[in-house]
Amino acid sequence: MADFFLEEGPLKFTFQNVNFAQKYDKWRHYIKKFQNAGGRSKAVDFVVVHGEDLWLIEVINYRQCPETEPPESIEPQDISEEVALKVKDTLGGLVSAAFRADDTNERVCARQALTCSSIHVVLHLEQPEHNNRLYRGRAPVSRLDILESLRWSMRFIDSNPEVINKESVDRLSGLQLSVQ
Amino acid sequence: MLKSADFSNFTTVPNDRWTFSPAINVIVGENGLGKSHVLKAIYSVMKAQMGPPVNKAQMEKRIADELLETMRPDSLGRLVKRQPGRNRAEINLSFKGRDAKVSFKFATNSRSQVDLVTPLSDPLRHLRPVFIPTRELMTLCPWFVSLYDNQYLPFEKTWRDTVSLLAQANVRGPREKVAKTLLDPIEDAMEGRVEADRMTGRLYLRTRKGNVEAALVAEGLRKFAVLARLVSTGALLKQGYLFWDEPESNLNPKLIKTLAQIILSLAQQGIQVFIATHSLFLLREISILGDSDARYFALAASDDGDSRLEQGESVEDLQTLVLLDEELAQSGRFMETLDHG
Repeated sequence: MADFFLEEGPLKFTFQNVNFAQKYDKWRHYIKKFQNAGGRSKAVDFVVVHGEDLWLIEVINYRQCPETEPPESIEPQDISEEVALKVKDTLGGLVSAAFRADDTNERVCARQALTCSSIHVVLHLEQPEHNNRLYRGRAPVSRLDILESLRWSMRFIDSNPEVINKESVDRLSGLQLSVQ
Repeated sequence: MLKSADFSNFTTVPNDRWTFSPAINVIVGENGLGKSHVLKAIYSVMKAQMGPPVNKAQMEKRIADELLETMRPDSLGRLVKRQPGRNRAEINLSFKGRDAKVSFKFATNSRSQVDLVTPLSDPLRHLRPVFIPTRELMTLCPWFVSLYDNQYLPFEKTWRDTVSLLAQANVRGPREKVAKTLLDPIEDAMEGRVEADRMTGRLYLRTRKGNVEAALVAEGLRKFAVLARLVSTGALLKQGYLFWDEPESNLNPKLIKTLAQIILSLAQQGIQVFIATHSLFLLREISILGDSDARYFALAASDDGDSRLEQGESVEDLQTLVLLDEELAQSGRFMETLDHG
């Protein structure tokens, strides 16, 4: 078990005491072989294994600064379908990597991921601040809306997905994560 | 208790079986996909079963009359799904109990009579269906009934049926106590109680400040007033059926929360409730309060222009929640204004 530090845009993620945490969409196997398999495949941002648990984490950041980072292009109503596609493709990609990855580390990590007994899907959603009264006390995109939408789209693998942001990472039970 | 309904080639309603909860049934979907048609069709068939026993031919006429007066097509055949050539619609309702089924069909050229395939062996004489339309009815009481009965008026018969129930006298005895438990939250929300004038039959809201005429009561509260009358008169008390089209119309979220509690209370009394709604707020309230008692239905537009039925015991069983999609799309538009600001 070790701590892993990963960056996604301006966000810095620290995974504490896990088997591994990797930027799956930067795996050589994904980029060179799987990304274009059967047309085009997508990928979640992070694959994390902690004990018997596999965590698939997607980061969507509507708070990015357009001058330094391209703005998120995905519309809120498309998020759940997009995450479902990425999770589905990532699961396929992990199977492919477990057997066909040239990189030993990727192959070992993929095999370890596939031996897990449960899978958790997490959407890390950062949103812009505002002072609009009509959205008082909440982010522009309601967490409840996204959660309801995700529950349907993710029911093929995780009936209880989580939606978090920097302030609510401690909502996750079973994974020690901090984000800056 | 209505267990299921099968529709085939009936207006825009998808050809499918609807399996109902004995308690609360919630239908969502965009306009024009058939939500209200389902409520009205089932109500019409149930209404036809009320009243004195009749022979098969008379029942065929009675069902057709109820459909015609409730849905108001030019002729019965206009309720058949619009397709090239001659077509035939079929509706089959299955109630709890052995052989408790009613099944009938009619064709594009049918004018005023259905073909009763299976008559209901045990009519629903004691289980009254009640239909609350989107329009408030408090101000129509009691004069609308005589007007409707004496003139040819192109209004839906549900208005007449429900107004006639509002004009009845309050229940007494043990049922009055049951009514009071249901009435308390409604009267709290209205900050008053509904009373019918003994001479004129007109409804008033009696508040601490005095009587308020129906026309001066807030539109949203008039819906609660109608509900209160239906409970007071025993039309909605124990057993029976409630069909409520867009109950959320004219209500603010605070009242919608109370509405959901009342709907659950009615269901717990043994009334089978059928609701068509556009309100995500109401959908969520029912899901929070009474998910174990509810079934959910979504009508979704399919690629061929027809509607498709999705159903399940949880909101999560519905793939198409246009209300949710639109709220999320609005969030996206709002964020665009932040980007540009």
